[in-house]
Amino acid sequence: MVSGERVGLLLFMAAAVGFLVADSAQPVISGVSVEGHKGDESGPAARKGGADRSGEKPVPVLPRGVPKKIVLEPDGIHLSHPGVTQRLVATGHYGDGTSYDVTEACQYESLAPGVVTVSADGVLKAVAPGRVFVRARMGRTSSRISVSVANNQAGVTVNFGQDLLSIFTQKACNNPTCHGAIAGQNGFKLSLFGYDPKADYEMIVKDKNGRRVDLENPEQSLILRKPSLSVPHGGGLRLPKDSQEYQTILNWLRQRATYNADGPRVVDLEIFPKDRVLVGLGTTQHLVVLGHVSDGATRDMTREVRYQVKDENIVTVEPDGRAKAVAPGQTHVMIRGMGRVSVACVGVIKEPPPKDYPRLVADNFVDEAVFKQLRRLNLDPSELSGDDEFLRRVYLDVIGLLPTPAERERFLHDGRKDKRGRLIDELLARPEYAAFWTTKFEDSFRNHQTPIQSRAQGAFRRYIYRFLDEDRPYDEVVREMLSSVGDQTQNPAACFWAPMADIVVDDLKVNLATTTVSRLFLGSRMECVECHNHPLENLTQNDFFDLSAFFGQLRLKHGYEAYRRVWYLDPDRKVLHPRTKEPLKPGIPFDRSFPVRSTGDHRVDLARWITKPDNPFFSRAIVNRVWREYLNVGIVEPFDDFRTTNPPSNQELLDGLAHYLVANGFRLKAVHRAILNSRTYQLTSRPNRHNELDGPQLFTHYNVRMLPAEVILDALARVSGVEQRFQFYPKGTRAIDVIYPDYPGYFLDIFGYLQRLSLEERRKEPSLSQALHMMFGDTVLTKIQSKDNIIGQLLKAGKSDEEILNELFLKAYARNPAAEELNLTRRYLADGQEKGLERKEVFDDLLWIVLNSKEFMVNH
Amino acid sequence: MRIAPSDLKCCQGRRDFIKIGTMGLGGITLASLLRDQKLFASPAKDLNCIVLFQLGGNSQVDTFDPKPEAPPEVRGSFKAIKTAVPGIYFSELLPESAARLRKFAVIRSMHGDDAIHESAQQYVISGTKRRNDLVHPALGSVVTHEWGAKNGLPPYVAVPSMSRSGGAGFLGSLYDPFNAGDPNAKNFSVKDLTLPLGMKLEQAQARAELLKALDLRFRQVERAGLLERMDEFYQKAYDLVSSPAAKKAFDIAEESEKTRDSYGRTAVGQGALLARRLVESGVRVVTVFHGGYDTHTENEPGMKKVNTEFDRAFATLLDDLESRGLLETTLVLVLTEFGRTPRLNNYAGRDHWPRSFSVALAGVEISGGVVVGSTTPTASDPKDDPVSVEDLAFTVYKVLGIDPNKEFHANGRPIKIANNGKLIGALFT
Repeated sequence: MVSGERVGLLLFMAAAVGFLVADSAQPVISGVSVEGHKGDESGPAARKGGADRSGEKPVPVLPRGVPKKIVLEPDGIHLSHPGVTQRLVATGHYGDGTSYDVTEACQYESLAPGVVTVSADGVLKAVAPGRVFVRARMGRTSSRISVSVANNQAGVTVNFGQDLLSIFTQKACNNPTCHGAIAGQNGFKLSLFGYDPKADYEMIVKDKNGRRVDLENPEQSLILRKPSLSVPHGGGLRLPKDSQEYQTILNWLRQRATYNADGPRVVDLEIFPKDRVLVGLGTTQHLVVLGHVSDGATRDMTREVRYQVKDENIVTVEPDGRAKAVAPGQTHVMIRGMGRVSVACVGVIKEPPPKDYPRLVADNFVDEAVFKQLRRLNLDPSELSGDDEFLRRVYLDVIGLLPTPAERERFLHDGRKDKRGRLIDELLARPEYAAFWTTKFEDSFRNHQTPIQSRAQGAFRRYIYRFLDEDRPYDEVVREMLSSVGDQTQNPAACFWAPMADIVVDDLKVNLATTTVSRLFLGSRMECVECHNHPLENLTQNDFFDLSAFFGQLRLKHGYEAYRRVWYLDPDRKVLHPRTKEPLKPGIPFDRSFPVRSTGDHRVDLARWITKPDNPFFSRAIVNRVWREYLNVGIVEPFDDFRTTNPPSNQELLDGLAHYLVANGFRLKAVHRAILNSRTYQLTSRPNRHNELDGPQLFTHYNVRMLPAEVILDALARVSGVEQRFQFYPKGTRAIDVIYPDYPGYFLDIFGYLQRLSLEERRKEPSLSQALHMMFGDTVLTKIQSKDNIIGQLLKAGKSDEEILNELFLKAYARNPAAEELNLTRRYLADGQEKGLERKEVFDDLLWIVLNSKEFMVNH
Repeated sequence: MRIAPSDLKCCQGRRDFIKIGTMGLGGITLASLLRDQKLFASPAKDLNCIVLFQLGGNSQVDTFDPKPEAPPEVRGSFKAIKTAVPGIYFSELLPESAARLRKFAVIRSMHGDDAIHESAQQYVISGTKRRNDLVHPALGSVVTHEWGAKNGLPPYVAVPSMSRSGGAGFLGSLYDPFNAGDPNAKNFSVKDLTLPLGMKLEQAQARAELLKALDLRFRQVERAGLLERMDEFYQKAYDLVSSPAAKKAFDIAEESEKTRDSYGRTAVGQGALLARRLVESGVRVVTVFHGGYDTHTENEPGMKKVNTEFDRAFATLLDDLESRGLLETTLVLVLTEFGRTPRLNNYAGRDHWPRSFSVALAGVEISGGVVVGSTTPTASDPKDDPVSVEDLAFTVYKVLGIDPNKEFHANGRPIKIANNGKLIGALFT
């Protein structure tokens, strides 16, 4: 019944929630449920339970209505034999760009139920060999996928490698705190997350005279009695007797507990959907995991993997694969099983981006990638920075120096539209840029007195400085370093190897070289695989050994004088496999097909692979580092930990920067320019009311960060007008230009200067020692007390109170004081003078205040 | 502020803040570290630790492990003297320690394999070697992490300063030591802990208030978590400077001249005295770094100087702690990063020798008068009962009541704080 009154009510309600009935793709504020009156082409009446189609399941009411398109996943399902099941997940895509899990809202139909049947909640079951389409429908929208069934009976027997290891992984038996630990537990050791089925088989069936399995009385086997707590078990109750897993192991024992070596193995895992933004807090999403088996079949592993979420404050996942949106943001879900890993990217937004989502002005490809993601996640970036803010920031970020008041004046009065771009070019051309960034590279190449003695330390620094100053192609420099030999002072590129040497025995530590090279140039942390297969990546210990074989030929000896080091090649020297003692052949784990010569300097081949333009890691690793310096968080974070399970927060952005670098001949300044000229970099640091709680890797505003140690020290000198002296160095030397042999002095030490003995990054966190030293220590004190500091100079020049204050603010903050600040400081001055203090004394206090202020010590 | 740990947690199960272990995340802030005892385990016994670290590598042959029967180029020219334990001899450089051997234990069979100062120092003070990217925290940092602070004082103090090896490693800078400065310096005031000469507290206060006001304006506009954390430290720093309790704890001048003389007017002597004073006031771990042991040339004058100073300081510290009833609750460690070459070199010096070195322990449950292990006739390697650096760390944590198998999380994996060691049973006869 549709009365006029009712129509009026409908329209009112429609208007109240901001959409019109006729169009099915209107945004709706989540949480408002308007029963039966959703935008739907079939009209409001038909939505009430689908009454016009008898026998069909009623469609549950969703806030979204019928989607424009449905996508069924996983695709490529090949069921191995009759009886096997596979879950489906259905996604509804809507006109406003949002997607929802409609798995439970769809009606399913198999077009050949004699081959495959499908349950009401989307679970397939194989009936007989063949090929069939399965269809899912919601309202008028439908979709279908193809499913095939084979007749591979091999899977019917319980397969140790597949079935049992699945259980051990899913139930956490083989995780690092239990039996997967290096020493196992109580003498029972399993391979970590099941990467070595053979070893696990030996352990369970053969170890300790086979007392863990009892083939005559399978139920008495220790392998069952322990996890079902029939006997005491440190791990508690893991497999209740009535569980499917207990039954599987029992069946395996009944089948004589064979290894089934020829049995199919899971070779890869895929998670569906790979990428999803959940709309609405509390929204759920089915995740389905497809295992690819070596015989071509697929296997539903949804309940046989372990789920781990990077940030559980955003999304949680149950052991059965159901994800739930908790709070807005973006994170990743990692799955792990059978020695393989995979990852899905999941974002959460409270509500769909409104129609009036601001059109963000993209200045370049960086912005395009960032803003696309912001829109996807319904995030609201801050405003563009003002000139004052931008000026101070870009000076500090590029050259590590505060802008002088004169430089500021010039910039502010520059009327050209492209003045920011021009300033960026100017700064990148300055020698201070190279000096500042040299230190950053010296940190990662560990240019330090201990490994790189005396003169070589300076030579290496100059080498790096030249590379940056001349903007030499990065791939060239890396090839140079990787293939270097000779005396470190004569060929400073060879200093690269020094931190990986053992100077006591005069040799290169091949394992250290492997982990260093992979971290620096591939962004990959291979320390884990030195001892076992990687728990979070598809890398094995053999991969590590094969990579280490590239470095076996490099030898070290002392030169004429003490501390002169000479690198040379011993072309026949090989690296031996630590267990088998067989000589290893160098091989690239990430690209086994890459040709490696059997003679010659193996490092050259490795360098060739690393620096080739389409190497997926090299360009991404370096652009990620540069990005991180400017935005304070890498696109991949930690920045040298690229792995399947630690994907970039914005793939398009990372790819774009990497391609840009390659397209520009690996010259880094091009990447600097692209980042600095982007609107993303130039956003103000002030959050707006929407983005204050956004994680820093979403880049909705500039991330405030502490200045590096040398920059603060130089800034202290600049602002106070009192130079910092360095022993053995002439007047006018800046902290950034000093080569510190060993201990850099108390100030730099507590502000994070690295010891450079390990691959670590500078601490960017405040500390008590810093606070005490700044406020009461001698570094600042001597500057405050100096008669000829800036205060002294300005007083001598007869400047007024206001002029002095202004000058302080301009130098330290690159801005004029605000009215409130003027009032506060005027009052302080007046109080001081009342107490009988000298004018200089009171102003020295103000200088102290400025130097200790947070605004001075951070870049914002 | 939303927590966004960058490390994947490897283990499901209870997710307590302490596992995250990085400053500011999970609710551990400076304020809570110094004040909020609820967040920390109460130690079963309220124990302290004083470490006297001999920087540079103390020569075992010239101190705790003399070899009077070895050839002259090994034994040097120092004689061996009797100690309070019959049959045990020390070098003549340590007469006062020798007389008090019944109060402490010596391990002669320490061995390591790192001959580089910085990394060996870090190895010994943390019990675990540095790996490519993983730096284990020093003893004091772990204690801080476990027990928090007492009486609002910094729980871990380094005298004169951290020495680049005594830091918090992967635990984060919140657990770094507080640097006290050199208490032997004239007019010693703790590094950075006093107002400049002539400044009145009132003036300092006014100045601090204006700083606060300006900072507040900035923070309100920027609203970044980092600024809150910086502010916290600045506030605490200011509190420490104006706190009478803190001042008193560090005010070595309050000690009588007689006491100061008895420790010796040396860096290590006054350092040990300050350490005693600090643990009395509530500091949990004090590490005194004493330099000068790296005698590559002219070994004997060098060794004589530093060890004489050390001897006096160590002996007096033991006496002092004992008479104040503190020895039961204070673990005293004498550590060094490696030994020195048994054979003198061409410059009459000794070079680095990690294959054998000596350490000493006293207090709490450590039995006095015990000598653990022995070395070969030239002191080149352990002969009986070799003790590794890992064993030492394991034992020390056990004595303090901290579980060496306790797991922390760093770089995305669980790390045991002092695994791979075993208890040195001989210390507890």
